[in-house]
Amino acid sequence: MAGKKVILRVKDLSVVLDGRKILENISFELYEGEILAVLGPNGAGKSTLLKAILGMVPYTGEVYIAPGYKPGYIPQALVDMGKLPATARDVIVMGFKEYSPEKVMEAAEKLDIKAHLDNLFVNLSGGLKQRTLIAKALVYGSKILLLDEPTSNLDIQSQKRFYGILKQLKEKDRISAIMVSHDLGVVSSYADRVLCLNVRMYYHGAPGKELNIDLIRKVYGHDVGVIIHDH
Amino acid sequence: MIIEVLIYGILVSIVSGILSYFVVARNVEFAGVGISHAAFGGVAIAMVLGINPMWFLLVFTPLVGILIASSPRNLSENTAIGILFPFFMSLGIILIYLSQQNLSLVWSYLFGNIFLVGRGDFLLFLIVGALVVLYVFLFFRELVFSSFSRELARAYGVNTTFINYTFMAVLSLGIVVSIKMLGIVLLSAFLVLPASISFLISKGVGRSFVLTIVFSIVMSVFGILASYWLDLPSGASIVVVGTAIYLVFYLFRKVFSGA
Repeated sequence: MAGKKVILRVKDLSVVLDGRKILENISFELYEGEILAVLGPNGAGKSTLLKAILGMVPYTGEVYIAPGYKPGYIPQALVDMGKLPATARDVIVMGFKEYSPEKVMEAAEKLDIKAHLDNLFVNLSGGLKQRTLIAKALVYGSKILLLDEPTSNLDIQSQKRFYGILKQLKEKDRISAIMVSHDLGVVSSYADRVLCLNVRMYYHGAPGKELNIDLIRKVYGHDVGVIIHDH
Repeated sequence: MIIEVLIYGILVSIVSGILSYFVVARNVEFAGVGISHAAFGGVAIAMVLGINPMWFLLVFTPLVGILIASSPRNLSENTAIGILFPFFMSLGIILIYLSQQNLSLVWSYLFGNIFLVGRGDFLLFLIVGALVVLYVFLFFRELVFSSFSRELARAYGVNTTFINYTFMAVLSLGIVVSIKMLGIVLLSAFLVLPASISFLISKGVGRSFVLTIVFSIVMSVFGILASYWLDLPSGASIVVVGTAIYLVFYLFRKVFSGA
């Protein structure tokens, strides 16, 4: 990818938690305006990879993030949510010392959540919660979205909408994303490149011919069935 | 006399209202119960050693709070509290039984009496209360964010471990200086009721924070007045008033919104 700007570089990243090897020697780069999908079975270390990039788990190796390209994290679900009666607007600005209300409105408009800003976050649908967290990342100034299985709790309609928004953010705002996913069809349609991992890295490249059933079986284990469908 | 008691009650309820907001938001209601009951063990140890229980509790209870916060990953906070709470309670009972202590003093720590609070206690409360308010003022953003979701807060750079430990220590201090008013047994209700009432009816971080303090003051003032006029125990009156307010709002919400 000559000429493209590297905004995140991971080199020889390994994570060991409680004596167990979670990730081993992972190396890849993320370019500006690129969507990188991370594929792998449960327990492959996909979520840990995102957390290592964010510095939330101890690791060895290198994580380089280009200046001005703060990552924004969008977890699969907020499983540890307390009882705070926070509105979507509260969640967007939560933890930020300074923010401009104009930026909040701009992000809300982009994510199509303007009408829900004063609703309780906990009462929002899965799709709206996700879009609120993306709006938060945008207000934070993130240029890299770290998305942990973003569509696993969404219905088909919300999934389509989510990918549409992601595509727009990529094309209009040059936002990059690392997206943990299980859906090979989605990966083929929306990702520029794919990282296949199961503790160690099996593949890193375009979702072309190399990303075939043999490779998927190798990463997921031999008993996996693969159904290719259109999105 | 009643004016002085009301002023003290309002000041204590501002501090405990602030703590209540984060206790309920962070789902650590049981920690409040655990720390306040563990304080009973501290009172007994201090009595046996002949030390002023309040001074001893100022060191002892934050240590219990930190111990709870530092429970290892495979032992949940609730399990740690479930072990420490009856242990310190039992230790207190054994020590008091063996040392033949004055039971009326023990009773005052267990159930509290705002009408018996001395100037020294009031001064101690002012110092510790100011510390609690200062801590919340300095770390409000981090406290709110980590109360909403520790994982998300960590991802956005909040040192959630620091916030967790310091909050438990500050909560413990707040509990110590409120013991004289409400007593060990009833204090946990004061840490849970104001925010629970506020969260029933309010929307938004700022609004619910202010309403929690308002409900804490209302509970306290009406409880003290009821105690004064009807000659009832003060701590118990405050808790009964608070529970009644909670039930009214709970039923109101149930009837009108169906939630």
